[in-house]
Formats: sequence, structure tokens, C-alpha cells
Amino acid sequence: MTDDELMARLSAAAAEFDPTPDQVLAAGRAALLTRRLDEELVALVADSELAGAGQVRATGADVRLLAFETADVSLELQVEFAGARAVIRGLVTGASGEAVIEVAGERHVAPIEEGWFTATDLPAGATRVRVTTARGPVVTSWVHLQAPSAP
Amino acid sequence: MAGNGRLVVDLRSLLAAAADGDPDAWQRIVDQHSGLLWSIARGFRLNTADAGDAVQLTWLRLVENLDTIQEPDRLAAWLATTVRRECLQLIRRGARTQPVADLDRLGRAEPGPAADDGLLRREQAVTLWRTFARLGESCQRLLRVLMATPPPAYLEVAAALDMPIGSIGPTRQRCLARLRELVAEDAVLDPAEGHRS
Repeated sequence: MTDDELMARLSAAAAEFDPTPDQVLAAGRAALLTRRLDEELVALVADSELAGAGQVRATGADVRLLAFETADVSLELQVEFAGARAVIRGLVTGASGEAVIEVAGERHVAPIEEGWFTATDLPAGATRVRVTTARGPVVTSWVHLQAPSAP
Repeated sequence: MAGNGRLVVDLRSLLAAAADGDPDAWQRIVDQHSGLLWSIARGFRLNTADAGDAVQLTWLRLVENLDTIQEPDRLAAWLATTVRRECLQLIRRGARTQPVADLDRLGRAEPGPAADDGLLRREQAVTLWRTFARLGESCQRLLRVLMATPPPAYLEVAAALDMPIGSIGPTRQRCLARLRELVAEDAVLDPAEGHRS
């Protein structure tokens, strides 16, 4: 058996024993529905989870800090899990009104008061936040929020 | 390839159509690349839920960047790089990993068609899959990515594993040689059932 033939058998075994699950395919197909229409994307500029280990420790307990920024608007999020549910406290500059948190197919609306909003009882999963600036709606890039598991 | 009358899929026009909100174009992109993304995530030993999360994050990021993908030819490599990053972040976050070839899953797999030929082929596939699970982690990772349907180009494999493109061929060869050794060992040790530890 040549390497290519052996590889073909492996591919066939993978297709049989570990195929892409249907729900993963279905979710991928549905992802187009999350397309932004006229909203500007606010890029992630800092994530305590991606910082050096020392910095992560320095933030204390399991609070994840995320910062998103464009020229007009900035959002700083503090994410903390109580069990499987998340609390997000956000500091917004350059936008007012309300923050809309989109997570796991759910929409949560939180008023922005003096620059701050708080959203509680959020599920884990891919999350983004939409706010409205003087120039129109903006939305953060996706972040995956997940309760830290015990080591 | 059901429902796909064209042999050569023009990714540039598919991406443009998807950016215009065409669900059929998007579905073709997803269907064409999901096998690669799934194989990469499983190569990183993520369990089913976490692998699904990594793949989904990757699709969300592509939707987010549909207007800015400059080189459609490199879409698969871009996706591979993105899913690798999502996998690594999930692992950093403490994702529970499991063996690439999870033996427990085999018991639950439905038997294939009942034709004798089919049964024999399936037995051989089960044995091969079990043997594959005994390879070292880095060999399992590379081979699992190479098992994707359709077969990935080395450019994408390099992106998926962050390894030099020139080392993929030699590593593949070495890993397949090791797999052959294990297959031979199994045949000697226990020809009837295959090796169990």
C-alpha cells in the first residue's frame, strides 16, 4: 500500500468515525445571518486572556478584561462568570443609549448610564456588543466567553 | 457535490455573493470548508462541543470580514489559521481535550451496509482507526488534518498547524511509516482483535 493509499483509508475512516456533525454544519450555514449591514466593526485591541501570564494574574480573580476601539468609540468590558452564567460590566465612550449584547442567539439590552452598562445572567458562547454613536451603530468583533474551568 | 453543477467553484464570486447576502453562495463556502475546520479542531483534541465552538467562531469571523478578504485563493488558509487560533484559545481557557480517535465512539457508531464486503471494509477501518489512536500526538494532529474531506492543500495544512510547508511532506511520510509499524505490531500481537492495552 502506498502512502497515498494509506492516507485515503485514513480519510475514509475519519469520514466514518468522526465526520463533521450536522449541527456544526447547520450553525455554519446560519452564520451569514450575523452579517453586519451598516455597522462599523469595533476591533478587539486588548484581551487579558491573551496577555502574558503575569498580567492575567495581576487582574485578580477570574475577571476577563476586553477592550474594543475605533477612532470614534471605545468599549471596555469586564467579564465575570458566576457558575455557567456571565456578568458583563462595560465602560463605553463615544456612544450612549443602550448596549445590545448578542450571545448564543440571545439578545440582551442594557441601558448605558454615565458611560456604564451592566448585563447579567448571560450564557456562555460567542458574544458581541452593539452600541450607537453619533454617526450610527457600531458592533464589536466576536469574542468567545466561557467560564474558566478549574485547573 | 450534490446540487453543484460546476466543477470549479469560483471562490471570488462566491465570496462576493455571500457578502451581498446570498445564502446559497455562503452555504457552498461553508460546505466546502467545514471538513477542513472540523479536522483541524479535532486534531487539536478538542471534544465535540469545543470543536464545534471553534468552527463556529471561525465562521462568525469570516462573516465579520467578508468585505475585507482580499485574496480568495487564500481563503482556506485564512480559515485554517483562524480556527487554529480559536482552538488554542479554547485550550488556554481550559477546554477539555480527548483523544483524536476516541475509541468509545466506535461502539456507538452505526454498522455500515450489511454486505459482506462492507463489513470487512468496516472492520479494517475500525482497526486502522484504533491503531491511529496509538500514534504520538503530533503525528495524530498532522494526519487528522490531512484526513479532511476534501483533502487540504499543504498551504492550508501549514496554516492549520503553524508549521513550515516544507516539513509537511517528510513529517507525513514519517508518521505514516510509524503507523505501518503499529499496524504490523498489532497483526503479530493479536491478529484476531487488534491490540488492547
